[in-house]
Order: sequence, then structure tokens, then C-alpha cells
Amino acid sequence: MVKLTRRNLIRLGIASAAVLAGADKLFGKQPILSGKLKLEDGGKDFSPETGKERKVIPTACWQCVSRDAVVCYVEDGKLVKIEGNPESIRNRGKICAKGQAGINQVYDPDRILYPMKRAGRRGEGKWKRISWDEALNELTARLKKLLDEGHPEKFMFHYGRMKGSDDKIIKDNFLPAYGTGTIGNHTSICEGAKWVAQELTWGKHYDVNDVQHANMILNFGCNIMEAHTSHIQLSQRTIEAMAERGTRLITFDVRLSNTAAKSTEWIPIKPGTDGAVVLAMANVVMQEELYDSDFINKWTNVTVDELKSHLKQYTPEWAEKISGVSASKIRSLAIEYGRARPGTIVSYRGAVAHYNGVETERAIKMLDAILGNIDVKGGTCRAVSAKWSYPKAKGEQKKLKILDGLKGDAIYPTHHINHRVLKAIKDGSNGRPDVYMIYCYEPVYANGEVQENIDIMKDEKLLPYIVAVNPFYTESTALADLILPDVTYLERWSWDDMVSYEHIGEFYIRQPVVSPPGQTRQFQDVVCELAKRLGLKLDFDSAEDFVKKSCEKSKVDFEYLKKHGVWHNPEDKPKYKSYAKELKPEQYTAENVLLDAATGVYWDWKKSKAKTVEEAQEKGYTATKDAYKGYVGQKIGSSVYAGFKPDKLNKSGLFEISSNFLKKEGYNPLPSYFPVPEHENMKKDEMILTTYKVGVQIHSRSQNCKWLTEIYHENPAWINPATAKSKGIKDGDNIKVKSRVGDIITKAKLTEGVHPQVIAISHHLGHWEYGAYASGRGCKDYQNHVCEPDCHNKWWKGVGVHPNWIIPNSPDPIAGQLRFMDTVVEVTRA
Amino acid sequence: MKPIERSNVYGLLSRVYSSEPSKDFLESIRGSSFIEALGQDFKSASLNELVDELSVEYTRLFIGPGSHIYPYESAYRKDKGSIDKDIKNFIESRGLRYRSDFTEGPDHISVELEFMERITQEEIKARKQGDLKKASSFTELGKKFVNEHLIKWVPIFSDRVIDVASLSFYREMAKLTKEFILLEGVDKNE
Ligand code: SF4
Repeated sequence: MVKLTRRNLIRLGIASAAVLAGADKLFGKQPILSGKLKLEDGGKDFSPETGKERKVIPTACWQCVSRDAVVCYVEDGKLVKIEGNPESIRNRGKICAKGQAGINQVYDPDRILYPMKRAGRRGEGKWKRISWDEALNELTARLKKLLDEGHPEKFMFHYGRMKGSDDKIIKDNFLPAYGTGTIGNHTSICEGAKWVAQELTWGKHYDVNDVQHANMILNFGCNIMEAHTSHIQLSQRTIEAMAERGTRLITFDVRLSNTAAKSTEWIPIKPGTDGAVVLAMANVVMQEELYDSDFINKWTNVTVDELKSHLKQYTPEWAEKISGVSASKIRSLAIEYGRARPGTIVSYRGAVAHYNGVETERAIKMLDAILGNIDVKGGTCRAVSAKWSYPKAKGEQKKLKILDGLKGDAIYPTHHINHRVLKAIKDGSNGRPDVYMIYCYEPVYANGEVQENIDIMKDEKLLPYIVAVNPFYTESTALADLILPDVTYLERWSWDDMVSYEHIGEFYIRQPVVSPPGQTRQFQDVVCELAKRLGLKLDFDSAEDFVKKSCEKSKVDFEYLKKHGVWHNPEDKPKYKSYAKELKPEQYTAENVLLDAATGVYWDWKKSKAKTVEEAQEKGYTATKDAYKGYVGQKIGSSVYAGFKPDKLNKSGLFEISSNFLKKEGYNPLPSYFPVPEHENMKKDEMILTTYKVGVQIHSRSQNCKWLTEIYHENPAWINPATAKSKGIKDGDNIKVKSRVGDIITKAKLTEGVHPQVIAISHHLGHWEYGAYASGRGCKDYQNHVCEPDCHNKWWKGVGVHPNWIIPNSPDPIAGQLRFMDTVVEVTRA
Repeated sequence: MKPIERSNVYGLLSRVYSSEPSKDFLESIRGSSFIEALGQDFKSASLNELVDELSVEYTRLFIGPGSHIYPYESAYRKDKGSIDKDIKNFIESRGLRYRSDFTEGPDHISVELEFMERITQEEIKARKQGDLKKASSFTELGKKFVNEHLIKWVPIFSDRVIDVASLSFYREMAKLTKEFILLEGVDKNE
């Protein structure tokens, strides 16, 4: 080896000249800088102190699904600050810490900036940077082959967070044009059971708790102040009602969440027993004659007597034995809530991510229904959101039957069972995708049974080709064969339509506030190019164009939205009691509309799967496939009303407290209680694992944000001191938490703020990829590791633990919801 | 070192860090006396293999995904918050523009090296034209840029590459880079 001396360096200079004097001096490198170099200032002038113009650009947050309207401040092309958009009627100028830390997403030093092709074994971490042209050539060839073979369904598109126009471009345009219906989502790991319960009772999902006008709020298992789907909208209105009108908020939770702490009262409850308490409260309401007989008689499909006789088995004393909530408390709260009308019940995963989650949610909706709290001011309302019109492509879509997991997983998985898709792929009896594309979806990290997810994703025989679309190198992206670098939400074009707690639809858009770094491209733009390469026709040529065309179709001013970010029709009034709207005769006597005698439903048979009117008449509304799509109205007496419009199931237009769908499958048609099987025969020292979210982290997608991870990077397990004592565990001890699918080691945090039978470990942490801040990798030696100017300020070392390693991917038997909160574990000192 | 030699080294190193090596670039290096400095595996591998391996290595070292070495001054300057903007402003205020399709940060190592290449070229030109005053002004400009920027971070950057590189090419190039910049920082008026 040549030693480095000054003389050698001189030789190096001469040698460099020889290299550079070669045929092509540039060797593929184009000069980066052009223009004439001068000694004096003058090309551009920069004032050292002032003269910096801050541009203000409105757009929308997308750290979490609440999707609040924000304004971004940009200085010298750099995003420096994010605030709430005061013009928004939804979030009213407010955002949370996660929203402010969106800047960290843009400037994450570990973003993927170029398309990448796997260079080593799958998951080995060896990559080759390739051009977009090469990447799309490769992908097009694979997709084209499937088209040519007549098997578009072997292209599986699996998305997680995809909403608004981002969703419509892919799901209502690109995928139908291509012809695949093998489209996976991620609702079953979120709140699928809640939506299915709502589809069984009042139809289309998303319930909006009108807390700002409520006299009392009951909360079963929702972390309103930290993590609801409409977090900022709901939490600020809840606090306002409490502070300004003295509204009481009663929170049932296994854990003293920050919501429980802010509540008027926290009532600890045993996991999976919320349904028992709700049924007992409903029983008290009926016995005490506090119910709204008008609503029950006119709008539901049960009678007061039926309800009374069904509910009387559920006494407060019975519920106390099951839930641990005292009978007197149940009774007094039921009476108080019954008298406080209007009131509203908030519920979320704490209540529904259980074996009996659908029944719990049905009982909750029943309790509000019998009190007449449905869709009234201050009650539990149907969601109102902006109704965008937009370009759509049509096409036949074939699909692999793997979206609902394995045979027998659930009876009504209308939101699919995404956490069982990999199992279905492994099983293989319904086929396997040749191309598996994941978009904003983290099959490895976000589902339970992490190890099995990894094993299946790594197996090239099961999944021959995986494409990951992501701005970041996540655990799932690391197992791909091709990575397409997406932009973050602050660099995209989209329109959005999140529900509005003012009950007035708000139109809003997202626009790039900074230009995308590297060669990142918004995937919706990439899809337009893919379509061209595949010879598919779309009615727009970019995401921006789609937003523009949607604005035209929806009669919303695009330029106005660019300037203000949000718009709502000033003429609109809050839409309460939409079900009571009477239809005009021309609406239900229109062509193709039939009256179904059995249910009183008027429906347009042409929108169903029936081939002829005779077939439709013979089968009737309930038995005809997709008849709900043609729902027009509900006949009650001699009038026809808008009613409770069904979705996904051929339910009538009534509020169905009694469900024939469940009866058909052998369940009690009226909301009932059945226990979580695993909780029935627990050994004395076993505990129930609960996971939860905190206010400064988003599910799995914010741990790369340094500001957030600085605040929250450790998640010791919460254990009640009494339980800990019996196990010989002290605060700060290392403990082992073991379930039937695996074990994890973490630290114990002793606190009275958790039910004695529960061990609570937050979600969010324990990443092993996702960049230096999330995984701790690459930043072992903080002094020497460098990735950005303040990386040396990373003073913390921990990355926490991920509980999903030990949570089985079990579905609830009705909706297929992942039973996150049912896991029985053994806890011992490690 | 003579200005022309310094200029050449800046040009060469700028190329090395700007992107994956092209085949003709590697061929040219192998044809020069340089090869002695670059280690056995560089000498013996076939050219096509080398292009492939070095592409993967370049990606792993400087781009990711996953943990990698950041080739930007701002990452190393704990004392300064907006060094990327400062660099861009400084370079642009000297009349140069960034290529419009250049997608790296403005303080990428290959930008700073190329900027020095341009300065040394101007210095040579001025000297040829007999404008010694102008030439020494460019010398001063270069000195300032090296001492305010390159010297402050390129040696640390190079050490990281030397540590992490698995193929000799980038390891040896990083050694050369470090020595060269240290030398530049000390005295370049020989
Ligand atoms: S709740 Fe926070 S993270 Fe979610 S959209 Fe609103 S500001 Fe963004």
C-alpha cells in the first residue's frame, strides 16, 4: 500500500490529472454548479438578518387520521413551523404536538430519497439505487405479465393510511382500470368491530359524539384527550363542554389514561366487560321508565316490552360480579345519564378490540337509542363530511379470496381481516399474489405475531415479489424487493373529507409546502405514469390535476382552497336527525324502485346484483346481493323516510336494535353479553395485556420524529403495586411478559392507575428499523454519529419495547377485529 | 502542490462522492498510477463486478435506506444551525447556480469539492493572464472556504467512511480525502 505522504499527494495530483484527462472527463458526473464564478457578491443577495420572507401555506395534517387543517410557515424554502388553520370549522386553529412535529417527517435524515432495488437476500439490507425509469420498467413488466395472463387479481395492493383523493386515485381509478380487486386495508387492527356493530344497527359508520351540546358524556375505552380518530376536534369540544357548561365526563377504562385523569370520574373496569355494564345500565333505564318510547316505537325494530324482558337478566349486581364496577355506581350512573338527556357515549378500542367487541358496541348504541340520543343535538350523531365529486374509472375487478383471512374467521368481516391476510397467503388455498404492494401499511410491525409476519414476508416462495411504497425505511419496507420513495404529506397534492364535529361538511386540500427532496415522488403521480405504461386510461394526469378536476366537479374554487386551505358552504346548517327526513313520492316511485314488503324498504334493484326485476322481487331486499347499494328509504306507517341508510349489509332503514343477521348465525338478535373465552379460566397469577396510545406519538409512524421521540421513548409496563407485590416485582425491575405466541422483556412501572389484573404496555415503540431516532440504530455512539445538525442532542438511549410480538392475530368471531386487548400473559421477574 | 494538481484532486474527489462510479471512471482510475493506492480487491475484481459492488457499497455508505453516513456539512456542524442555507447562499452569491435537477442538499460534499475545483481553476486562469492580484484573491477565497468549511467536517466524515467501508475503494479514497483536506487546511501556497 502506498503511504500517504505529502509527496504522494503531489503524485496524486498528477495522477488525478491523468484520470480526469480520460476520454470523458465527467464520467457520468454532470457539474452541479453552473454560471460564472465571481469574487464579489451579486448573483443573489441575502440579507444576513432581515429580508427573510416567510411564506404561509395552508394545507392539512396527516400525522394521524384526524387530518386537521394546518398552516405551514416556510422560510428560504425550509419548513420552519406548523400551526392549526384558524379558518377551519373542524379543528378551529388547534393542533396537537404530533401535528407540530410534522416538520421532523420532512427533514428526517433517514428518508428514502431514491428508488431502491434489493441487492442481497431479502431482508439483508443490501440495496442498489436505481432510476425511476428502471424501477417502473421492472414493475410494469410484472404487472403487464399478469394482465396478459388474465390474472390481474394476482396483483395485491395493501394499504394502511390512504384517505381522500389519495384513496380515490388508487381505489376508484387505477386499480379498477387495472382490474384487481385484491385490495387489502388495515381496519381490522383498528376499530373494525365498531364499524360492523354500527352497520348492523344504524348503517354507515362513523359516529360523531356531539359533546359540545351534551349534558353528560359516558366514555367506554376511548382515550379522547390523546388518541381518538377525531382527536383534536373531539378533545377540545369535550374540554369546552366540561369547563363552560359543567358537562360530566365519566370514563370507564382499565387504565388511568390522561383522558381518565381529566374526566369527572374514572371507573376502573375489567377488560372485555364493558358490555355487561352497558347492558345493566340499559336495564336500569328501562326499569326506571327513563326511556324515549317515541324513538323506540317509531324508529327501532323492537318494542319497549321486548327490551324490558330481554334486559332484565342484566342486573347491576350481575354486572358488578363480571366487571368489578359496583352495582350502586352502575345504577346511579344509569339514572343520572337517563335524566341528563341529551347525552352521548364515546367508545373506542378499549371497548371494542375484544372477543365480544361487536356486542359491546351494539349495546352502547342501543343505550343511546333507547334514550332518544340518536342524531340529535348533544347526542350521538351520524357523521357529516364534505361530499366531493371526482373522476372515476370503471372496470371489472377480480380478487383473490384472502382479504378475510382464513375460512371461518368471522361471520361479517365487512372491513376485512387484514391481520390474517399473511396467514391466508401462507395457507395458500385461495391463491397467492404474485405482486404484493404495500402502501402506508406496516404488516410486520402493526399486526400481532410479529415473528410470523416476518417469516412469511421473507419467504420468496410465498410472496415472490414485494413492492413497498414509503418515504421511510420501516420494518416492512426492509423486507421488500423494490422500494418506491413516496413524499410525505407535506409535499403532496390531495383533497380530504374528514368528518366534521360542526355537522357541516368541510372541503379541504393538501398542497406541497416544500418541494420533495431527492427523487421522491407522490405515489399518485407515479400511478398515473404506471397507467400510461400499462396502456390504461385515466381521466387525469397527476395528483394535482385530480384535485383540480374534483374541485371543478364539486363546484369548489381550487384557487380559494390553495389560499385558504379549507372551505364550507356558508349556507349549510348542522344536519341533525337526517333519518327523519320525509322523502318525496318521486324519490321512491322512480323507475326500478321496489317496495320490499318484509322490511318496508324502498330500493333500486338495478344497483344490486340482481339480474332481472323478477329475480329481485322474488329474492326480496334482504336476500339480494348488494341490495343495500340501492336503498332509497324506509316506509313507516304511511310515510317514507330517509331512515338509517344501510352500508355493506342489507339492513332495513330502521335502527335495528334486534339483528336478524346475528340471529341467522345463532346469536341472540338483541344485544347480549358473552365473556372473552380466555378470561374465563385464567390461572391465578395470569394477567391481561392491554396496549394503548399516548398523546405525543402516532400508532407506528411518528417515532422517526425526533421531537416526539425525545418526549416519549420508553414504555415500561404499568402494573398495580398490589399485583406486583404478590409477584415479588419492584418498581423498575426487569420483567418478562409471556403469551402463547412469545415473550418480551421490559421494565415494570408500579402505579395505582391500572386495574390489578391488567398489565398495560403502550404501542408506538420498540422499532428495529425506521431510522436512527426510532430504532436507535446508527446512533449508538452519539458523539460521533452524525446525521443532522442536532443529532448530538439525542441524549436518550432507550427505544422501548413493542408489545405486538406477543399479541396473537386472533379475530373476533363477528367482525374479525384483532382482539388486541384480550391477550392473557404470564408476568415474572426477568 | 501546484494549483493545477490541487484542482485536479478536487475534481476527482468530487466525482468520487457525487454518485455511484461509472464503468469508464473506474477503468480510467485503474489505468493510472492511482491503482497502487486503492487496495488489492480493487485491482483484482473484474470491472463489471466492481461497478456493481461499488454501486451497492455507495448506496449503503451514503444513501441508505437504513443507517448510513451523511455526506452533508450540516450534519457535522453542531455549532451551526443553518449551514446548508449558508453554503447555498455563499455559492450563489459568488455567481454560481445549482443544476436545477440536483436533488441532494446544497452542502453535499461533492458540491463543496466542486466549488473548490472552480476556485482553483479561476486562480490558475488569473495567473495565466498575469492578473496576480485577482489570482491571490481567489487563493484567499479558497483558503477561507477550506478553513471555514471543508476542514471542519471532511476529516470526520472521512474517518466514518474509513470505519464503515467494506471495500477498499471508498476506504482508500476517504484516506486520501482526509489527508488532502488536512494538507489544504495547513498550507497550500507551496
Ligand atoms: S390530531 Fe394532531 S396529529 Fe392528528 S391530524 Fe390533528 S394535529 Fe395532526
